[in-house]
Amino acid sequence: MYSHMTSAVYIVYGLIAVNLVFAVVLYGIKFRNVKQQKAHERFHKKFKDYLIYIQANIDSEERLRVPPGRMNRLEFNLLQERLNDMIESFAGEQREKLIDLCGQIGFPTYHLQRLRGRSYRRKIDAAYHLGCMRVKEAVPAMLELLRRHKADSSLFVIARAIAKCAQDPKDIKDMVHILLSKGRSIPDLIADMIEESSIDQTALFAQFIQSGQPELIRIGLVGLKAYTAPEMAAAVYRLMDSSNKEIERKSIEIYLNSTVFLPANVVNRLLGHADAEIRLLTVQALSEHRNSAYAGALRNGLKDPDPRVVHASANGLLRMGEKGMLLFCEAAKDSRDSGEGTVLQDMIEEELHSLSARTQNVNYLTQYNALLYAYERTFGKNKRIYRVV
Amino acid sequence: MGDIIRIIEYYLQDASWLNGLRSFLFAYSTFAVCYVIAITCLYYLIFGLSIRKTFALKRGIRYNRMNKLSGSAHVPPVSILVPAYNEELTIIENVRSLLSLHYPEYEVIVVNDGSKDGTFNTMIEEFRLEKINPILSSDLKTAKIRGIYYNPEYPSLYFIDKENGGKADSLNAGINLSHYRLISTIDADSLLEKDALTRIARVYMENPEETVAVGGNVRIVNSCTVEDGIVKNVRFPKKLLPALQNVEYLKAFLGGRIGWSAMNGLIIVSGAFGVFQKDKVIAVGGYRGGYPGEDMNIVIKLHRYCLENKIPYRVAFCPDAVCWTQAPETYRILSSQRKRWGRGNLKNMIEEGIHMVFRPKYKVFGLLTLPYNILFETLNPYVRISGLLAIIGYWLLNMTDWSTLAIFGLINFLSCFVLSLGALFIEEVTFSRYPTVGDLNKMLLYSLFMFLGYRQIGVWWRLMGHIDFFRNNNTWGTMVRTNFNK
Repeated sequence: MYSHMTSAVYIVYGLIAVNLVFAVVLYGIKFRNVKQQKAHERFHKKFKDYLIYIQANIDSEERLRVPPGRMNRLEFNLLQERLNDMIESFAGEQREKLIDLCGQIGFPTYHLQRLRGRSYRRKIDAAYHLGCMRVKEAVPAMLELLRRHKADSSLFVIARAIAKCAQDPKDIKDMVHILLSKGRSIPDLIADMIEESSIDQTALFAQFIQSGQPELIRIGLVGLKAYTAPEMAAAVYRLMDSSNKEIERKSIEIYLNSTVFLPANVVNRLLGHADAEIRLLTVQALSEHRNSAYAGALRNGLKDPDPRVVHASANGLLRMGEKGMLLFCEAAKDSRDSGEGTVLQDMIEEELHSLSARTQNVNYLTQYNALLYAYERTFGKNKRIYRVV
Repeated sequence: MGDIIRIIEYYLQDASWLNGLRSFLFAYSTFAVCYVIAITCLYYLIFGLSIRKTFALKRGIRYNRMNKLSGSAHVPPVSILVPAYNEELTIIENVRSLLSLHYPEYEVIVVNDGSKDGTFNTMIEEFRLEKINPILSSDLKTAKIRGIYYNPEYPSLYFIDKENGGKADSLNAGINLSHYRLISTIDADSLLEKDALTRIARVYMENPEETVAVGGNVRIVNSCTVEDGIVKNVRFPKKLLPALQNVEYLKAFLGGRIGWSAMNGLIIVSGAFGVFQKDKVIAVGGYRGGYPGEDMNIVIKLHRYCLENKIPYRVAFCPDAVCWTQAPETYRILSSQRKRWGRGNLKNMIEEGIHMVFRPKYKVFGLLTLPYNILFETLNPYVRISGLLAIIGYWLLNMTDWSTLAIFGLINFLSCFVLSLGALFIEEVTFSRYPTVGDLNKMLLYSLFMFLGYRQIGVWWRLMGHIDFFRNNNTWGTMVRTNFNK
């Protein structure tokens, strides 16, 4: 018993020591944080005029000058942070001037040395800063670092830095291949990184969708999703039959956004697709065109089993002017007469009711009158309809 | 009185009965020591993982530019669901705060769960909402929807008015209306930081196929200054109970959840703020209604669904995505909340946990998370209370003395206090949200105070929650809302 108690007392001493060490470390970190905060405030006071000088001269033809006097290590780091923020906020010549200023101060040389060092923490820090400053000389070393890095969050810090620094599409392709080799499917994140690079991204994404490799195609499609140029429709057309559901869906989305005119055979094929999401996308795209040539297709959409497609088709027809409204009313009447219910008629009446409350706006008033005309022409006069004078 | 003492003396003189009791208490002490060693080892394992992850987290926060990401077209759109029941005091500030998030594409769906106060009128008047008739998915069954309201001037705001069905039912109604693949659940008495959603999106984008849920960090807003739905001045809570809850949350979120998520064993994504893949939530049948603890329940179901269907997945935690919430300030409200948590935990363990625990097919979740939860969380009140009774027994039977009890009490306290210091270490290294040395002094002091009654009363509340469960008391309990700035 005595020996157990003695052991227990030793454990108490040990635990007190661990608690004290932790508390000392904790206060040490706190005092360091407070000190850094104060240094930060001092830096802003000391460099206030210099930072104003940079902002005032960012558009001038003159080269930006380095800060006067000597800087200590903390000021050096804080100025780097401030310049990083400015580089990310500007583009074009202003960004180039800031990058040139960083070069004059010696930031790239300093971080290139750190990138080649042994400390992992410093390497990541250096990669981040070199990325902000778009130092192209750092790309080979960063690619090597990326290759050997495990698949965690820091991997993407290095990859983004490479994308920012790369001047050659090959470097970006290498970066993408290394990321894909880590077994992650991250098309959105990779496309986002590529968009930070200065190379011709559209050409690169177009190359990716021609590659035949599903992972690269997905990145290409994500990168091109915002493009609405008509040539995009041609580029993605053959991918619309892909067996990969995501590639099929994304290519159809780009096609619908970028095509100027939707051929009837494509519209019919897409409206007959098994996936309700694709039918919905198609109906929405047809509605956006506001072309009465698609009114017939939208009328077919009113018979879709998915209520979202029916709703979108109805909205599309209502936005298509008199012809669309008339078709909508006829479809509603056919549906009622064939015993399929009055859902469509109810939708028209709800729309009339909603428009009648907003007739102080001339556009709504015009829509209201047109729809009321189509409704009464199809169904005859209806006591339920509120008449606007 | 004299008779009773004579009876006790008589029984104490009965050697065979006493020997039996002594043997039982000795066996119990062996069990208790094993129990304490096991829980301490597990705590240290989780803390070790949390601290190991701290530096990677710090790098992630430092080197990812949130401003840039929040303007990216590649960040996934999110439907934010805000269930509201009698929230007229905080709902407007909360919704305004949500409408001004730094996030490219999102919608806010406020669900009025049959509030009895002015929540409905407040929302309709403040945002001039009008009834619309959108298409609602019928994926999840809910209580009757009275109406859906919208104003094109606030294109990302939808308001659902429905009959009372509970928080889970409101979330299900929100899911049925939501338009995006990711859903985020937020309490109506909480405030999201502007970049919180972007920070969660970063974690999601790093592994979008496998990330089924990401939890955010919940901090206490009491005593902080709130302007236009933004926490402007972070202050340590001035009142006793919020201050204790503050250090408790720090320990649970930073010391616990970081570590559990590191080994994909996270059992809960706080209802106050989390993001989920909608199709997975629908696949598991949505939120379970009719009982508290729906936030834990949905995560358990997601683990189960993915493991049973061999779907690679992870439930992540993002400590830099912060949601500020009001902590109960009175004993009555806090006890009500904790009893509710106790009931919810017990229900989840009986309903789900017991079918998965110690089964290798459920991997870390079945072999570590659930045993930990059942043995050291759900059954904790019984072990603690029986432990207290055993100590009284040791004392009465002269099996121990005060110095032994004091030393083992000290060991228990010091080994737990290291964990509190560890949580504060993570806070200081990674976030340092409370700026002054005085704040650190207070956090240390309240970490100490936690052992002097607060933890013990927490055990009592949990036990009361279990009693409520067995008595079929299924009410939400007392919850009083106040303005963010008082």
